[in-house]
Amino acid sequence: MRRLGWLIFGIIFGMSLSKVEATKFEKIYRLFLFKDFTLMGVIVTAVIVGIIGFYLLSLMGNKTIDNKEIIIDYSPLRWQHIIGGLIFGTGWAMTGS
Amino acid sequence: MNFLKDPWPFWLSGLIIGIQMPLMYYFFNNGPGTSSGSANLLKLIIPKSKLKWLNTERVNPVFNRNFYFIIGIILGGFISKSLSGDFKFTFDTGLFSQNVSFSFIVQLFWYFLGGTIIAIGARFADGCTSGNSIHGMSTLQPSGFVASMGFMFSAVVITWLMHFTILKGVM
Repeated sequence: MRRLGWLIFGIIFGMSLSKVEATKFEKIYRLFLFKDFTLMGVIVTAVIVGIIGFYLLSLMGNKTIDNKEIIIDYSPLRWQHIIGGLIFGTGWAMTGS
Repeated sequence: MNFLKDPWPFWLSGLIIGIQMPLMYYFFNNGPGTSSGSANLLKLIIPKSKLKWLNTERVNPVFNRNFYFIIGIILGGFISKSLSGDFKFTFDTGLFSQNVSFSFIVQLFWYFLGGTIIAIGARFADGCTSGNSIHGMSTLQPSGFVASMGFMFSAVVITWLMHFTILKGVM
């Protein structure tokens, strides 16, 4: 069940990215040339919806469907986040993916 | 608008991706693992690897949630393109391959290098755009905001560099 669940999450995730053309070199390239802000809109919308969703979860007692405490995967801030971020962005721009 | 055939507006994809984050926790108590999933694929190719990165609990067992998630992403892209009728197996990346004067082999190398840089960066920063930007920022983690700033900053710099050099000013 869990496997099927993650597969379905993946399919929906991949479809959403592909359908908004986030997989096109041109889209990423024009985003960072400040010519096309579609993908920025995707990220901003997703983050706002995500924040609201997590807030609603906390209002419901922060419990999963089988009544366990939700533990958010937390990544404590380290200097690697900056370095890794800068490295990642380089590859992101090079491949436009 | 034909929902299955046409490209989606930004808010629809954003809405669907955003709502998935709390739902993942609600059903499975875990966040997305997109870049982590690529380690599973690598582990499949070299199962006997002694590399520390390929022997953590994240890739053991190989067929874990990240594996099914990343397979789903690949399937999702395939389904999306099949529905819009423009699926094809190609090395043509559109604007890039039409404007650079690199040979095919150099283009392949460029993409391989870019992919390697992405992977190294994602492991260093403890996540990619989905883990740090979407998941990290929607759970209000400082690391998510910092890493996302890093992604954007260097991507803007490198894109403008490419714009003025290899892509000869094409918009």
